[in-house]
Amino acid sequence: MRPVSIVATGMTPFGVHSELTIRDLARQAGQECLAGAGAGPGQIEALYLGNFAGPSFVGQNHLAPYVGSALGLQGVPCTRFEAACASSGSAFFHAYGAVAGGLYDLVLVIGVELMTSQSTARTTDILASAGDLRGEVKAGATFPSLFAMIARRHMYEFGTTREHLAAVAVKNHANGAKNPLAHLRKEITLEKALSARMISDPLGLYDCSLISDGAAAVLLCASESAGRFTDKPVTVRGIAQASDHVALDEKQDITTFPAVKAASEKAYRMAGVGADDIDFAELHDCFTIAEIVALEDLGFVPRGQGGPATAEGFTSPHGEKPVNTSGGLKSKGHPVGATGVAQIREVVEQIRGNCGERQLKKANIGLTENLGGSGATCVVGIFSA
Amino acid sequence: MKAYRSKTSGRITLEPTAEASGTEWEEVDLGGQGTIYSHTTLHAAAEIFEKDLPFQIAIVQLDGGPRLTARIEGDRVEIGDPVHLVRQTDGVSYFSK
Repeated sequence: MRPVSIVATGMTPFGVHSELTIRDLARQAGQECLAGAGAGPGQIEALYLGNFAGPSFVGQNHLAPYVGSALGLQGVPCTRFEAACASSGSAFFHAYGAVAGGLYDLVLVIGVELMTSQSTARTTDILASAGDLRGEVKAGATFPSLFAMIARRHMYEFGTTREHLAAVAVKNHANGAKNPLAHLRKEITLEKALSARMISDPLGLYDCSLISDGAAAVLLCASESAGRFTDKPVTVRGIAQASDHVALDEKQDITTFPAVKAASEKAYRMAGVGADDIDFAELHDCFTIAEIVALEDLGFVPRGQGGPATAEGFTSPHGEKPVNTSGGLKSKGHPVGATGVAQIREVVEQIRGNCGERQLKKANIGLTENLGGSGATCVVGIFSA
Repeated sequence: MKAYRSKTSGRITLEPTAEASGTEWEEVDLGGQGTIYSHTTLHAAAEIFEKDLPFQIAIVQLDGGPRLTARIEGDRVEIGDPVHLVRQTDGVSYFSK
């Protein structure tokens, strides 16, 4: 395996894009990425597209060549990857393998989702199809309710409180307010988060991520040629994907995600680093409890301490381990299929020092954790210059 | 309450799957008693369940068997509460305190 670098990134604003098609969104992110590297479509050897539910949200199948042709790619493999909310993390993982293994030198990875064209109830339906349709979903479970049961059990076992959950939302909204591409750029107070209407108890409105449209892209290159496209390449130090049960009721313990543990252990080993060496991270806060559990599964804090650590500022931009400087899924938005690549984009641009008002002082080694469903897929990446 | 036990591993499941080739399953009766492992009350649901809102679902630890996701009928339940199967309708199990 040879070293692989990211040489350019692209991202549309996340939000409501009722005037654009799913193809427009993906093309915009892809074109920004190509322009950033000074690369033409003829140089791209493959497109790896992450998308969760384009066929359900907008009725379009065969999405990857549809996007590829809009970018001017001709005659190269264009393939769609689906792994629920980890779709583009998975696309990135597989693209990495193809470049590291020598199959290609230059590969484009795009994540995209167009969700807001559907009603919230219909969107809830489509999202629920990433759960076990024959069991939990048939009984009425939605994704907020699955994570609510995780939160309820975490509270029962470790004393986690609604204030701990709200602290995740307050932090991520404060971060997102400084991100020009974020969907909901507003700060919120702890009181506002706690008094919002209940979605699925104990999760209120501000415990849930946003339904957003958007796309993000990165250009992967064999490190030996990265200098042709940028003077600020960021290297993939470790990357791994792992799987677990789709149904929550099949897991032995729902207060931990075995796929996060498995993927992060592999990624740490590959990168030759440990949790303490990570300067900052983009974590999958689809619900506030998910960020708390991820902190624990990644080894950033001991088991059960994710809530208190967040409330004490451990993960704030000035804390020991800044998490979700982008605003996370909570404030930046969560166009499901775009999320994995958007997380990688934030880490890359932090390492390059391009994050303006939200730029961290110390951003040498960054980690991304992209979770699919209620933990059935996880992709963890570790990056540095 | 019907379930299946693997003749090789003894594992009990509500739905026999090919966990290992050659696994033979036998039907067992679980009796329908269990304990609440976790729960939530929904105030937003998928389209087909909007008429039921608000409703409570739970992960029930069945006595001597696996867990399953079920609807709760009657009084709201908490973690640790003993519950029993009331009925099974269209593949969904309904439990009560």
